[in-house]
Amino acid sequence: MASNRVKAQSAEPRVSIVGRPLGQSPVARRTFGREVPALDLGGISLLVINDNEFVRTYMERLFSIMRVGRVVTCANPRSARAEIATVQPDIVVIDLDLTGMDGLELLQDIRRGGAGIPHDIAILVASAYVDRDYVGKARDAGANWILVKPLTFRRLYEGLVRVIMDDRAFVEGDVYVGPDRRILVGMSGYDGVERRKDSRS
Amino acid sequence: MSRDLRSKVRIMPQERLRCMEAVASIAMLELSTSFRRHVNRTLRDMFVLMSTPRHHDEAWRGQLHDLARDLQSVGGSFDYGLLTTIGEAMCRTIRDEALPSESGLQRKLAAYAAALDAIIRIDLKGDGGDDGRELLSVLRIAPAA
Repeated sequence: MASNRVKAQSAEPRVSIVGRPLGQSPVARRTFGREVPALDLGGISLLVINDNEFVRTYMERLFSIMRVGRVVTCANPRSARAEIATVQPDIVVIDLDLTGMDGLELLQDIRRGGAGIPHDIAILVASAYVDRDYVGKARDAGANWILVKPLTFRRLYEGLVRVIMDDRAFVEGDVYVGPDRRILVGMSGYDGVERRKDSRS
Repeated sequence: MSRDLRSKVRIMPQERLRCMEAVASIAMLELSTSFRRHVNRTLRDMFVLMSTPRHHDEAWRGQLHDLARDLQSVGGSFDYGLLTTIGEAMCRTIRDEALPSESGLQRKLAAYAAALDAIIRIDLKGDGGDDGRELLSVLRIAPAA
């Protein structure tokens, strides 16, 4: 992974997503317009949790086309729990349709700091449904973004970009730990709507 | 959170992203063939298993559940939403210990398996439109949210 990062960074000068040299200016909220930014993901590592071997292979293939730096796959949240501290991923991609409650427990564990990785790690959830209870639960468990299937190249890519560019404040309360849920669409450049201005998370 | 993550990515020309998408669309053609092969193999295994029904046998039900769950998973990922909806209903039925009778269970599972097979045969993608709604109505399954 380290070699991938060096390679990716040596190709062009490093710039932030707003086009400024890194380190010179903080990344501010910005607008993409309709075009999703094209990001070199060579420095990113992913942990993909999906209990279907065929889908894991399929996702690995798409992530390899995206030139993601490193992809580690796990068949279930239990094996992910065992490996996550060693892998130290930048983004966790989890399919909650199949992992169900175990997956939610893993999300909560990560957010509570019990998984051996930074508790504010980016978490992308994949689901075939948008209205199911557990999608709400995934949000309440601290997911950054919920990706609705089918898992096309474009959707997966946009999902990764969304969590990378998620600039919402990270809330650490007694009840909830995760990105600020007051922002409806929590991603730079997408018009987030503050639904409850007076609420805390 | 994301500032650290953002420091690991760099803007690249949109053209490169478009190239990646073009490569992905070619890969998808190949993956679609693998997908159909995978689903057909799973359906074949399902019909073989159901040809010797042992509804009271937990191991048998477990095997059938795994096959239905597999279809549920790949269906959603490959835009065959009905595979997911019916696969999920099948999984629920198999797990349901309170089914009124063995013959009822058998009929229901056979209907689900036939529907899954039909979805692939007639290539009913997404929610299947009117055909999909009719199919779910016949099977008495609520459409997915």
